[in-house]
Amino acid sequence: MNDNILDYLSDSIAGKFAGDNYTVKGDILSFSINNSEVFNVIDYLYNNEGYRHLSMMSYSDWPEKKIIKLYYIVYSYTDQKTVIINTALNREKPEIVTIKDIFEQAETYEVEFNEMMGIVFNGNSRMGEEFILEGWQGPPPMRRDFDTAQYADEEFMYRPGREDGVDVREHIREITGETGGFDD
Amino acid sequence: MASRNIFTIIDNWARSRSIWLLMYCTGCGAVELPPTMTSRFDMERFGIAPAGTPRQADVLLITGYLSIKSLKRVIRAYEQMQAPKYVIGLGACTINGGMYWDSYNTIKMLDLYIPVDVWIAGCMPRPESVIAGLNKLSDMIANDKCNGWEQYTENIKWYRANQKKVIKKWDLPDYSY
Amino acid sequence: MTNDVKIYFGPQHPGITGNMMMEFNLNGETITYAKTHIGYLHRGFEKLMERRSYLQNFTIVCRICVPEPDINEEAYSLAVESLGDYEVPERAQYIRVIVLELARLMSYIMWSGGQAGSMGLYTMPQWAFADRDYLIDLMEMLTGARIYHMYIWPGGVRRDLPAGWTDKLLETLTYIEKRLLDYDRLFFNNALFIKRARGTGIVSDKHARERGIVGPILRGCGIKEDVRVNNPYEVYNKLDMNIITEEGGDVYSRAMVRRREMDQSIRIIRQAVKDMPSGAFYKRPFENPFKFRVKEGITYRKVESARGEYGYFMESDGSEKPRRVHVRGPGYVHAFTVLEKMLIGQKLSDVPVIMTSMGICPPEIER
Repeated sequence: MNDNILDYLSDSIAGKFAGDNYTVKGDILSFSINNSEVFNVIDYLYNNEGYRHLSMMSYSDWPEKKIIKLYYIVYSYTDQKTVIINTALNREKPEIVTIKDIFEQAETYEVEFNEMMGIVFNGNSRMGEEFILEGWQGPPPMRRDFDTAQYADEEFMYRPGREDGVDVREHIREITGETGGFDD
Repeated sequence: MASRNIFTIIDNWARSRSIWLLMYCTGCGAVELPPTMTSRFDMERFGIAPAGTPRQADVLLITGYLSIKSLKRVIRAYEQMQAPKYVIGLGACTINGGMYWDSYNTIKMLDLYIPVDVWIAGCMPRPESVIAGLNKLSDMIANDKCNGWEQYTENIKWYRANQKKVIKKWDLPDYSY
Repeated sequence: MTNDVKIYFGPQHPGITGNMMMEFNLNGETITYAKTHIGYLHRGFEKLMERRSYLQNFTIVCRICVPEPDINEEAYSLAVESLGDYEVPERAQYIRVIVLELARLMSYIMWSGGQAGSMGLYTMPQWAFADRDYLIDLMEMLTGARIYHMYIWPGGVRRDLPAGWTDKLLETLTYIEKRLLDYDRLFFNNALFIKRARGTGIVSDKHARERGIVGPILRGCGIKEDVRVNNPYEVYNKLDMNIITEEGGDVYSRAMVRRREMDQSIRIIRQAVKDMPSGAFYKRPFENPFKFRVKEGITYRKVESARGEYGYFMESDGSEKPRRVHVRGPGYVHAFTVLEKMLIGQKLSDVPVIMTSMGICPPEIER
């Protein structure tokens, strides 16, 4: 009985918009759609189907496929089901229209995504604002080709090791006579 | 170095029994400070009390990791404190970066940027460890072994060079210790 | 041109909840413009989690939310189990419910100390933190650590309940119940608190849901929403609980929602102790811990924390390390779109009261 709600919903969306990969698992329906239709789908779900709570937005970087995937997760208080909308942006120039006219809390997510990943949301006037990092000069840090360990190695100085250079397990073995159970 | 005479001994004895911490929760170690201050592990019996503003505080307790944005404000708060002033580094993140050793936004060694007198190890240290560290600081003050603030004024150029290397948006004055 | 004064309610302030900054324009003592600044606690958790395997991640995940770390482990485990279709034995589910409700109780007790301290009643934090320490002792007996437990992991929990733990738990709960009556006499029924809290920081309920508000703030406006009842996880659908609401939407109604939920948490723990079956406490989801691979897919799982809906979005590509883990803290929406509009027209000395009542906790906002 519960699954019928999401099956009915996925048929209804597939009839009006062209999407694919409709999957229903548990209480979650997920599908992918072209990025020019995202605003219309969210508007339809908000006004006609009662999905009025934006749980979160998220992104993930796929340099192998040369895309950035963007996820919108909405929830309905009347049906108590979740819908995840999946769209792919071009990795060289990721742009999409803003949804802050439907959900006002999306503005904060979009400012953070612009800083951390470099996605441009057309219609949001706060693009380029410094939100979490201050004085950051470099590529957007959440891109997969940014190596954080190498950056930390070059930028910060680490504390040098013990002066006598003794291996810790050897030292413990000498003092206490116990083996510790790891190397045997 | 200032001259050491009978008044220094009396001053150090008095200072070691009245240590005021600055109320600044810089990182996640700050959640073990309220149990240290309240009635179970009561630190007020040692003369340690919280102070609201840097102008009235003696000790800056760096509780955990410091991001770059936070480091600039910590330096500003440290320079606003009046001498004699002390710094305690709490937790493993101030010693060598802790579990965020490969993060792009946290510093790895605290005493490149401000002088540190006492380190307390742990992740996170129990309130008993915090009180043990504060007692050690109080013993060191009474024996005249804590002069981190004098080192800061003597080596200010070296500290400033380290700070300017990581803080990209620099708007602090060059000398204001 | 107005004569407004701009001040920075800065990262170092006794009245601010955590390490964040508010920028105000003041006309006298009334606020005319507010803006939130965060970023002082950013560690890049999502980048760090992409470099560590699934089992290494569960040890660092609890540091994302400092006052209540167990919900991070729970939501992470739920997401991994949902991706890989692993099942959890029933005894482990009951133990998880007990640990989560204890964490909720500890977070609420800490909140009540903070709320009273923001109004100047400093006896209450002394009582609250001392009583919370009894619960921390219980957690130390169970898991070995005071604050960051690292106890709930994909497949169950890490070890079984030690002998004598349930008796000590029930004794401590009886003691806490008596102390809550003392808190009522000192703080919750105090005429000064009621006079100061009524009418302060009102969230009007007409568009509360659409603006993304969750948790006790929503329940303080009279709206019945709770993840434990609407989307039950673990064994909450077998336990007897109801959604607690109050009318008004101000600081007082949110305080009363939390106070009544403290009683409900104690009832839930007692039920869970009585109904707990015997059996396994862990079902291993992997053969080789160095090659723990999870099936491909995406999922979004949420739990009810003391501050609202706390969600984890996880994407896996079939390898040993997660592709993407994104954490949604309830403070993310409350600190920006809600707080900046609500503070206009309030007095400067009410700002710590309102911020503690909204439950703004910066480490989960900027991870």
